[in-house]
This record gives sequence, structure tokens and C-alpha cells, in this order.
Amino acid sequence: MDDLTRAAVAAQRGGPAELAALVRAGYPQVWTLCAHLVDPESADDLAQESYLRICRALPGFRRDAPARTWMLAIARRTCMDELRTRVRRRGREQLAAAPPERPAPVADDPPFAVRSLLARLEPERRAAFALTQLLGLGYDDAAAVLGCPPGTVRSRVARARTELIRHAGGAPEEGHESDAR
Amino acid sequence: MRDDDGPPAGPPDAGGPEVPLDPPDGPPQRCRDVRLSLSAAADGEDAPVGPVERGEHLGTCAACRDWAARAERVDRRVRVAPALPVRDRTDEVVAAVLADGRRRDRRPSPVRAGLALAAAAHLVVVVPALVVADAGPDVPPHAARELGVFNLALGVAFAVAAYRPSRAPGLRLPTGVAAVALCLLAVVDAALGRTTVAVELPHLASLAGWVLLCVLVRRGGGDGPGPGRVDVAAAVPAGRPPPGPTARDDRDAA
Repeated sequence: MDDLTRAAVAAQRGGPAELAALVRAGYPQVWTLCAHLVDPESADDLAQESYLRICRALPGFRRDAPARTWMLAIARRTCMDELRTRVRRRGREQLAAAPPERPAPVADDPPFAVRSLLARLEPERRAAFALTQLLGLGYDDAAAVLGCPPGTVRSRVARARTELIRHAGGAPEEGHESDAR
Repeated sequence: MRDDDGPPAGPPDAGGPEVPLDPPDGPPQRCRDVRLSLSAAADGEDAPVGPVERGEHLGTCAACRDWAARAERVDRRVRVAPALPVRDRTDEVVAAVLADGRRRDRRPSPVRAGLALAAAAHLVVVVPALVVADAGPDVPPHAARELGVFNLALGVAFAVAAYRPSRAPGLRLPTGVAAVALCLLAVVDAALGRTTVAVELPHLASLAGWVLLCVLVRRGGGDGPGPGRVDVAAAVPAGRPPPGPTARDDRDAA
């Protein structure tokens, strides 16, 4: 049993100290996922909301499952709900705030725009890419978080790569490619 | 594992409109398979197209060579990008979780109201049986008192569960044994003519109380120092977060 799962099991029966240990152990990953799936400005709120849901669901947590994928799955659902709400709100407010069809290529600045690159990915791909590339999950674990087969993770990650290549393609690169889309 | 990413004649992915790896006028199928495999291999995962075949294809396909080089660069950029800074908000999050648990435990619910009602029904039976030692013409006084104690225990159990849902899980088994056995015996004895349905009807209150208690347990109950134990179901399927003070409310205006 890994540390995070042990912390989750302890928090099931424990008090505030065990709960704090679970937060400390899992928060960075939950926050990072939220930051990439929605945006870093909202990540504090979303990570906290994820933890509320995690703790409400904690009595039903089965210790034979790794807590990491379980918690990240809840965090992901929290983010998806938030994105859905935003889409609805935007629709209601009749803001023609649809993202531009062809976003400008991302600048190659040092703080780099990995984040703004990722932000252009379609949510399912962004989730697959963030889980596997930024949080270091294997395809199997990412599949457990996303609730899809590992093969779907594989194709989403590949598509995300292709999309990223396309978005980053505008910046001048090392130059040995001919076809800059 | 080579599951569902075979020929993308149809959308290979569950859910969501997936655009093909490249535009319709993009690379042929073989190129897509090779890129999918290059991507998987870069992550150390199973790839449908093996390394030798990939090498052969790359030797003949400039577009895929280009893709591979660019993908490598994208990966490098992602790898070297500094991680986003995570603030330690343990205390805030713990406080929010505890407040959430308390709020949910205070929230009235029809289930808890029903449990309180079941408790009241049992206590109504208790008073005459226990105090006056009278549980009907055919019941000896001491048996009436014992019956009273039995109902007192059930009533208290339901009342405790209604008042403190977090204690419901421990009460499920003993009240279940009592309620189910009572009803079974009532049916058997009614069939044998040892009692009448009308006399045994009150046992339905025990059964109802137990069912409500089970509902409460399923939804989780919660209070006290531990994390809130409410609404397992609500947290798992995608549902809107319940209204209530979260960090968002404090800063939404900003």
C-alpha cells in the first residue's frame, strides 16, 4: 500500500490530524491537475472543492484501490463540472467569447507557455496529456482516472502531441523541418 | 495492450468528438499508426507498431520523421518547464472539509425526519408497556415490561441515528436483526393464527426505521472531528457541488 493510500485509510477513521496528512500528501497533485485542466487562478478553489468531495466519498473508499487515481478522478470530475458551468454561464450571458478559431502561436518565452499551449488542447486530451506528462501517471493509471480504456489514453496523448506540435509550430524552431503548419 | 486505437475508420475514442490525429487530408493510416506508436513508446508504454517497423517507416517517410522531431521538442519543452508553484493550503482545506461535514450533519433531511418519527413511534409503545406494565390483555405484566425495553432500545437507536447520522453505520446490524426478525415472526405467527395482522402492524415501524437507517448509511452520515461522511453518491457521479461557503465565495467578486 502506498503512502497516499495509507493516508486515505487513516483519514477514514481518524480525526483532523489524519485529514491534514491526507491533504498534505495529495494536495499538490490535485492542485496541479486542477491548474492544468482549468487554470491556475482557479486551482485553489477547485482543489479545495475536490477535497470536499474526496472527504464526502471517503467512507466509500476501498483500500484495495490506489488512492492517487481515486482522488485524481474526483478532482478531474470537479474540474469538468466547473468547465461545464463556465460554458453554460457563457452561453447564458450571450458573450460571443468563443475561443478564436486560429489562436496565435505561443511565444517561446522562458516562463513558457507550456501552460498556454496545454490550454489550447481539447479538455479530454489535455487531461490525458497532463496526467501522463505532468503528473507522471502511466497509461493504465491515467485510464483509471479518466474512466476509459488505456488504449484511449494512448490515442488521446498522441493526438495531444500532434495538436501541440501544430500550436507550437508557428514559433521559429531549430529549422530542419520544411512543413511548418 | 492494443485495444481500441486500431483503424480510425470510426471514432476510436469513447465520448467526445475526437478529431483524427490529423486533418482529413492528413497523413495516411500507416503514418497515424506510427505516430501513435511513437507517442506511446516515448512514454514507455505498449505501442501497436514495434520499434523495427517504426524505424523502417521513418526511413521512408519524411513527414513522420518531421513529426517525431517536433514531438521530441514539444516533450522537451514540457519536461523542462518549471512546475507551477503550489501553495500549502493544508489548514484552509482541512477547515473547509470540517465545516462541510458539520454543515451536512446539520442539514435536515426527510430521511432523518422519518427516522425521528420511527423513534417516536417506538417510544409511544414504550411508555404504557414499561411504566404501566400493560401491553394488551393477553400480555403478562413482566413480559410487557420486557417488550417495553425492547422497543426502548430500538427507539433510542433510531433517535441516535436521526440526531447523529455518523453513528448510523454501527446501528444498522442490531436494529436490522430486530426489525427483520420481528416482521418475519409476525408473518409466520399470523399465518399460524397465533396473532392477527392488525396487532402486528406496528412492527412495520421497526422495519421502516431500519430501512431509513440503511438509506442514511448509504448516503453516509457525518459529523464530528472526522471528515464529513455524507453523500458518497453525490461525490462520485458528476454532480454540482453543493451550495455553501467555499473559498470561491470569498473571492468570486474579485
